[in-house]
Amino acid sequence: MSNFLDEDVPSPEDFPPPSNAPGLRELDEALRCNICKELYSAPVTIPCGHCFCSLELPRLAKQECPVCRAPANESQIRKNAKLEDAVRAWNLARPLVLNLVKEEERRRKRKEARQSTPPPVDGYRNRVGQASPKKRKLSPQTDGEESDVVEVTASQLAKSNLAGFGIIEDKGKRRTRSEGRSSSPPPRPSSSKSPQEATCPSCGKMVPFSTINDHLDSGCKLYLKSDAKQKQKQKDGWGNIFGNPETGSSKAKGKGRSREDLPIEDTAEPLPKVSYGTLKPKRLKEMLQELDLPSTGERDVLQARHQRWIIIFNANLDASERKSTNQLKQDLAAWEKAKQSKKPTVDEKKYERENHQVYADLIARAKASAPPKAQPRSSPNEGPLSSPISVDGDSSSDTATLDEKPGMEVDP
Amino acid sequence: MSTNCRRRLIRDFKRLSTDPPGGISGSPCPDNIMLWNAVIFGPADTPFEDGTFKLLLTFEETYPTKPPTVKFLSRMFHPNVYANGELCLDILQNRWSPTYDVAAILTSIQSLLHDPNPNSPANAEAAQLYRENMKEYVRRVRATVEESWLDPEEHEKMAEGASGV
Repeated sequence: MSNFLDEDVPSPEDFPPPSNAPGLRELDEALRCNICKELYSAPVTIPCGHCFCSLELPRLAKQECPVCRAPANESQIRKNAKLEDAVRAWNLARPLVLNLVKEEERRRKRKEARQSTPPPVDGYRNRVGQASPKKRKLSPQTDGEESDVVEVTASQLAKSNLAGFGIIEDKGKRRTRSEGRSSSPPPRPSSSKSPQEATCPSCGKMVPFSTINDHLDSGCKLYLKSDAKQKQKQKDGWGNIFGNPETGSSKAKGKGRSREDLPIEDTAEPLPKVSYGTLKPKRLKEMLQELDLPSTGERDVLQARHQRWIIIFNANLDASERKSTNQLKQDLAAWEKAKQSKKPTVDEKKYERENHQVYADLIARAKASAPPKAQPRSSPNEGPLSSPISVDGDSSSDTATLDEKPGMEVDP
Repeated sequence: MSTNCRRRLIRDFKRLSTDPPGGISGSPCPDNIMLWNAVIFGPADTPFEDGTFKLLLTFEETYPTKPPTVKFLSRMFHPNVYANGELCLDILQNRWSPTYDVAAILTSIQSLLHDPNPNSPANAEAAQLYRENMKEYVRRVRATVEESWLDPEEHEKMAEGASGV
């Protein structure tokens, strides 16, 4: 039943509850559009301060904020560059943070499990082992677990270029590190760089090992590992995430690529809105052809296509990482395809019978989550006969019902 | 293919199953995410208390721009529920906002059980009794609560037997 939950659709619930990871669900939720619940793409702000994906806002014909219903109109929409930066950074950091948090959860659970199991060989060692982590590596079992933690953390750090941030330095993790060092791979953040490089003790930047003295003599100016190279690497990373052809697949960009494949330029103007009321299908077709869009279908299909194109095109202008015309056309096609799917029709009586078990499970879950009552009454499972209330219209049962529920409001 | 609507519904499901509001549960059909089953447990201190009311939510690709169709499968006696199970609830009609999700919809319906609005009646008799004869209103509601505990088969038998209730 829950295989939908296994699909790769990131959501705030990927993070542990606030009790275990304060703020992370909230952070992930805050960086998501309230409408599509995706991480913001081309976020825009309206006067009340609420933000949405640019693509979502023009759909709001109601002239009000979808969250707080404060009045808002299209001319007040402004792009929110700072939020876009934050989302871009979170997009990069999210997988790493998620991994770290999950690892931490696993570690905590293992610890709890260990504490709840009786001491294995000699009670003394185990007791001490918990109080003082240094002793823990005496037990080969725990040592294995801990070095496991280190490997994951170190490789994650290496991957993400965050080595210098000292994430593994803080809190209880310090001991994890010192223990990990006793096993083979050195868990220092330096695992992310080649052995020919060293961290400059003065400026903290990475310098080829052979030139470290010259570097220091130059006042930390010479022989720096080129920043430009790192920036390009980062840029490539963003490109991979956002699918931006300019940065992401710079090699693929060759002579064969047309203008259609390039991101839309900064100078592009938003398309004006059209009042379709008086337009003949022929004119609509021409307009679509001018835009190099499909011009097949009935009048309302043509109009919907044209309208949607304006929305997609203009929303793309609010993004700093713009899509190409071809990508936008694919988006339009996907939208049109999705629109064609029909509303499912259901024979309700039959449906209810067929899904009897599903509903039984749901009932059990709803009951379990219902706020507890002071004095539970007869269980509904026992059937109607166990209840004092009669269904057959016997008026004597009225008093029974009302007496039994003194808190209920009844007209005098 | 994963459309925006589908992704949104998967997220709605994640939220509803991770952090369900009290007395509410719901899940999509295993083979069709556009069709959801839900159960609302009658809120305490209302005549609906202990009822297990079944609902069916039908989504279209226009979700969340447009609201889903929500219907009670269980028979209801409520000023704002039509005889066919459809609801008269502003947030499912003209007050819909695309920021609502399944959890928000079900919570709103739960609170509608708590506070009926007799001014926009879908069931005129229920609205009238709610205003003028609370005793009878409660009795009629309790009857639907007991019906809600029955299996669908028992339900049909009962409908055939006593048509008066």
